[in-house]
Amino acid sequence: MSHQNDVKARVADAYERAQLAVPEKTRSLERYLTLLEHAQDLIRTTDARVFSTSFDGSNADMPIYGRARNWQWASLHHFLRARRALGVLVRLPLFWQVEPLIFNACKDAGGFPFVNDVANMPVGRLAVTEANVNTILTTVQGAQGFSRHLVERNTPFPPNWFVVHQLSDTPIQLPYLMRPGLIVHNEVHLFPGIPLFYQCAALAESRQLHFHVADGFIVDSSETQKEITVTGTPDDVLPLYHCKLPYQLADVPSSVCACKERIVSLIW
Amino acid sequence: MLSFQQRKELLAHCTAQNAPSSFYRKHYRLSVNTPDFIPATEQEWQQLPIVTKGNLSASTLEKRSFLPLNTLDHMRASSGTSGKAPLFSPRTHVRNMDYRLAYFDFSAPFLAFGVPMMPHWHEQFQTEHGGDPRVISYDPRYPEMSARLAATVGVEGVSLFAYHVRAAGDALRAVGIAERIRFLEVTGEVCSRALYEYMRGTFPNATIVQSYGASEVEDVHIGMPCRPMTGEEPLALYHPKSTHFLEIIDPVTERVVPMEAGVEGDLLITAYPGEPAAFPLIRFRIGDTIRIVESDCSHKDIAFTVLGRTELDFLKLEGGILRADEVERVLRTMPDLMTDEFELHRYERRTPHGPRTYIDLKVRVRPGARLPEDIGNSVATRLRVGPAQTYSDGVAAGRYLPLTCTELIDEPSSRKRQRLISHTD
Repeated sequence: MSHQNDVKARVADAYERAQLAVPEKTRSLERYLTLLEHAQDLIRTTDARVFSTSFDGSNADMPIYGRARNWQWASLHHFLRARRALGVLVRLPLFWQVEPLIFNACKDAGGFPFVNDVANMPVGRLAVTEANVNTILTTVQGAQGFSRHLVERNTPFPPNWFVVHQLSDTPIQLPYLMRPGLIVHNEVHLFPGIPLFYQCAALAESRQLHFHVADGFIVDSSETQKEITVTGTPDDVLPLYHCKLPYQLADVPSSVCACKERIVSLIW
Repeated sequence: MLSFQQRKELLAHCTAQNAPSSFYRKHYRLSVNTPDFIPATEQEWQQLPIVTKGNLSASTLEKRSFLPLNTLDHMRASSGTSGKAPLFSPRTHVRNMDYRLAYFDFSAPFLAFGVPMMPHWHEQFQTEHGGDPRVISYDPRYPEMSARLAATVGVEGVSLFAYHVRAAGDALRAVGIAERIRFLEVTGEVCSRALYEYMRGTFPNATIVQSYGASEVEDVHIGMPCRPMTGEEPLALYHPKSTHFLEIIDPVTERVVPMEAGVEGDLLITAYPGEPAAFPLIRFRIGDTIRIVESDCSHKDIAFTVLGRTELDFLKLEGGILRADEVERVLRTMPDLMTDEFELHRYERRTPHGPRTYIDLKVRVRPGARLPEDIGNSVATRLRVGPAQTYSDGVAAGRYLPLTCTELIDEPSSRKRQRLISHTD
């Protein structure tokens, strides 16, 4: 509980810096985004990384999200290290603004990134066969398309897949990634590049869509159980505070993860 | 440029019996017992076999790299859109980009496409020089989103491919920050006058420079801007880096020609940024034709301009690629009208909406046949510029002007016919 209180106190500090009142009750994501629009000047004057709040790159009307520059993509660091990643094929849209974070994770793991134009699957495939790529970093739709491309060209699969889902995705089946010998890490992003739910090594190996809540976020089921409320993270220029999202969460019963974190299942 | 002594040391390093990569020993056919190879004179240097992209592609990244792969910074590939297999090139860390400080102080955030410098390279460079570390990656698929992100952080410097400039410029103008841009660097393609005029009009307060690079070269660029673009011809003028050595060869005889003003030929580059180096290039034939403009420029070196690809088999357009084999394919769908012999001219034309690509395709008409009036449209609807995009789609999207198709009339010439010609005037 003290951790939750600490997060809430630091989130309240962030609102004070933004000269905004801490919301007294839960509010919708739309209302939060309106507040965020008012905080755009603060984002400009803060040394923060910026992220789109839309997964649709053509939707440039949405406000921009800011997160502390020193934040690192911890789940990616852990995955690349654990899987001894070498060549990391990056098939995420450029507008996600995550390349420096991926580079840092690669260096931490002794690997190197190769940024592949998402529309140019043949070059990505050749990187797998000719340039020591053993890890793919992509979206769930990207994983679906690229795995099919590899199968159609009879190309051996790299063993490591890091797949990013967006919160509003309906789960997509990735049958080709159910092959033995592959490790698939799934995680769910609130906005592009902002993990909300992630998998530790044990969850990735379980091959189920079970997750932990990303560090710095507090995620609870609402009183009606029909929504979740999200607060965090304190690293963000304007964090979410008791923000309602239209998804249901289920704690996975009687499961204790090897990493000691709470396991949840998202009911999409 | 690299001195003869530096090049001798480079050769000794690359051809040593215990060199981390055997690429050069194999390329120079040195036997197991032969020690390293060091030329005694410039003439011997000029006898060294040239390295081509084909030579590089024939060896895997692992065998080619002079460094263990787990120490590489990142990997780069040629696009593979030319129809040839892409070449994967290893990179170490960012070096020799200080020339930019003469034009921009980096006190404000930067907007950049990932080529020639990856975003993390920009962050490192900007931090090392006491600048604002923030960099926004330009996503050519989403110029408006890129501009929105750039406006949010207050970007004042920009680096883009030439064929991204118009879409990016329109988007930056739409979010009201084009006039705040103080520095614009373009690279990737030879810049046309129409594009220069667009940049000058869209970014009135920017110092505009063009640089010249290639994905195979580890320490970009090859050509450093000799001066800002002012409209003076040639629009872009470059000088070499101190870590490079440039040579020009006659494209037919492959003999080195002297670096004197007015000389034209194929460019060879030797590039060695010092250790760590993932792959030093020695006499690499890059495939571009250059012309020496001055033999002693203001940087105490040669100044040159790039005329274009020596043997062009593709043209990069905004939103796509025009390939010679694709043009042939389309022409073969109309065998009663024409052969597959052609000459394709690309221009950048001024329009009220900024510069637009215009293609004039000259085709060999069959005896007795006559080109129908709408032949340009017929070709454009079949001519693919991307996996699911035709030239007509680009016209409909406002990126290109309608294609014209006219009869190819022979003009006496001793030169081999170029099929894809890009005009900058």
